Amino acid sequence: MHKDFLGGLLSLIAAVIYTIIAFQIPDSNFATDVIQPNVFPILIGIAWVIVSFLLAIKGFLLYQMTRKENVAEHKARNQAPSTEGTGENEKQDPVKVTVILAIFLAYLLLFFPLGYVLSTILFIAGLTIYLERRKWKRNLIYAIVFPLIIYFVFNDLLSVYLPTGPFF
Amino acid sequence: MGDVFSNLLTGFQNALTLTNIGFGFLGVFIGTLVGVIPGIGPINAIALLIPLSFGLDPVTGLILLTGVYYGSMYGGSTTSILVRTPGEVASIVTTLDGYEMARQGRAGPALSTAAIGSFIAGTLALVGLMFLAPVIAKAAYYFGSAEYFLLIILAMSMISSLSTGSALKGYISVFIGLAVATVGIDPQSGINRFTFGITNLLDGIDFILFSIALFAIPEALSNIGKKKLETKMQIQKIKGSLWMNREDWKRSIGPYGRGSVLGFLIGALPGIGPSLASFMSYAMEKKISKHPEKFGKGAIEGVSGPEAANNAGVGGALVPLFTLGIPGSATTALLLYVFMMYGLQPGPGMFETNSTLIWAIIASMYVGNVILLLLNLPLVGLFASLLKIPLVPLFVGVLAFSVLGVYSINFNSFDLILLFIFGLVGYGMQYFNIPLAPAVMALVLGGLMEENFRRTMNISNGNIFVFFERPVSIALIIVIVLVVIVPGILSIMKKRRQKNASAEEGINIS
Repeated sequence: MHKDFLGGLLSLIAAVIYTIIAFQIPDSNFATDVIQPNVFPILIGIAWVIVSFLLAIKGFLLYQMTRKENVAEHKARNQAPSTEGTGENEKQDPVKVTVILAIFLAYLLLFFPLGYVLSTILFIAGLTIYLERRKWKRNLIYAIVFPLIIYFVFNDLLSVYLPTGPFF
Repeated sequence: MGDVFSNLLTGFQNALTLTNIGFGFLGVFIGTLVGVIPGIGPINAIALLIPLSFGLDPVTGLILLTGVYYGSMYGGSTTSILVRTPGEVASIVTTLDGYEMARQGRAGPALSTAAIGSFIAGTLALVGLMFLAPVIAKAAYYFGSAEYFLLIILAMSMISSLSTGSALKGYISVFIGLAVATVGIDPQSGINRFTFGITNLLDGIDFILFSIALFAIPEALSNIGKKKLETKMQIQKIKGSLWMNREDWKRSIGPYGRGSVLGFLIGALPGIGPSLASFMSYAMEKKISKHPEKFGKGAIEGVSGPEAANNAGVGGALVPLFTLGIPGSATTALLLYVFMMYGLQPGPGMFETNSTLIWAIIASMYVGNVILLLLNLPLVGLFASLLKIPLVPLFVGVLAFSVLGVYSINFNSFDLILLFIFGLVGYGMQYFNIPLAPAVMALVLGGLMEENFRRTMNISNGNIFVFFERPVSIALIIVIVLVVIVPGILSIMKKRRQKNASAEEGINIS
């Protein structure tokens, strides 16, 4: 599938959900209000639906065109060609991205329970060693030094108190 | 005239305190650093620094953050020239001739002309800002809510249709930002919108959180999520003299002047930042040059013009921000937010009510530009060595920093979950090539846009034709229609031409 089609479709789904909720916003309690609180969101929602729909159509047409033009060439490729992608996004590794996101989410969830220093050490160590296992020594030192410096700067110099965990 | 100078004098008195010079220096230094390092632009840096600036005086905080903004314009050119990787968007076009000059062993003059051009243009643009801003502020007194509403629409359509690759995707980005802006209690009726019974959502989605989620997270994620991690970059060595020779000067002076004027004017349009200014300057220099064939092969004009233009664009971008409260780019949207955070509402009244503050910022920018010139030329080798920072620790550090930044807004765990959700949204948008800047701008302007829309409608008793009643608003509508339609027509014409001519592909810089 063409990337624009998929992007437009996802955006369309979000826009439709947004618009449906927008219609359910109750009216204002003030009788003098000419414009109800739901008007602006509804207008945004409808416009968002329209542009998403147009993008999806454009993506679909581009997909049809490229398929007609070079069926043979297209079969050889696994991925749909993108129109303006500079190739940077194509090189993403889905497994890697998922693992990074999982580690990141774990960090966010443990940020308060474990305290800043401990959770950050675990996060940086875990993620850097996952990405570059061979440089584990450097990564480990980085994982310990970074949070300690930040903790000192924030707590003692800026008086922005970071969460403390069960240990410190 | 006399007014401007006495104001400026007071400004200097405020800007030249020890604290303000210190933070101004820190700002431009950080700006240069983030400008140099690819993947961390001024937007990320300002978003991450905002929580830190909570504790500072408004003047000091704003001097620091504007310093980051224009400082990054200097730094961006260094990487463009030495590694062909622009540190920020406005320097993309500098890679064309700057890198070529470096390959021919003329990195020194390329860096010098970029720094000197940036300095000249940055300073000239400030002069423009000083004289133009009060005039516009006076004119803006006559703007009613209808004109404001239209002006915001104009800014949004400009950023979507002119500064990005695809207008449709730009509009999608705008609507995502506007949709996020409607979350929370409606300030006018007290009705909850899109809160789903979650108390944390009543105040709406925090702007800083949204910008960090949209800029820092997708950038970090897509850099470390690549199949093959880039570990080393090829850096061109600086051989020979740093200085420009007589010939270089002679060829640079013209582009400096033209770039300054063009950059300032384009930057001053609402919705357009310095990036477009640098592209247009390059196109213009190439067009008027006697040797257009030398462009792309190391023509110094192709460095001096755009670099002057993007720095002048910064001064220009501050005009609509200071006078109308309408940002010209995502970065100035962040600055707008900082103003509001300090309880200041940029707009026509600000030149009267907060003139000391505004003039202190302007004065600090004169100082900052001098610091940047002194800092950048001798230390260019040091900044270039920053490019050797290994990417994995860098971007993992960015992720850790963004969590820290979001934590220090409200100190609650719900925000961290929101950061994750919007980080995913941002990553998805980047994946589908949907630009992120329009969404950020739409979020900061969304509230103002709705407020002015409803005020207009209340005054006219729901009559939509009120927008067509006054000459200024009609003019604005015409410009909006042109901005929305013209790029579409141009692209259709381009496609026709491409069909007729053989499929010759040009460099697609956007």
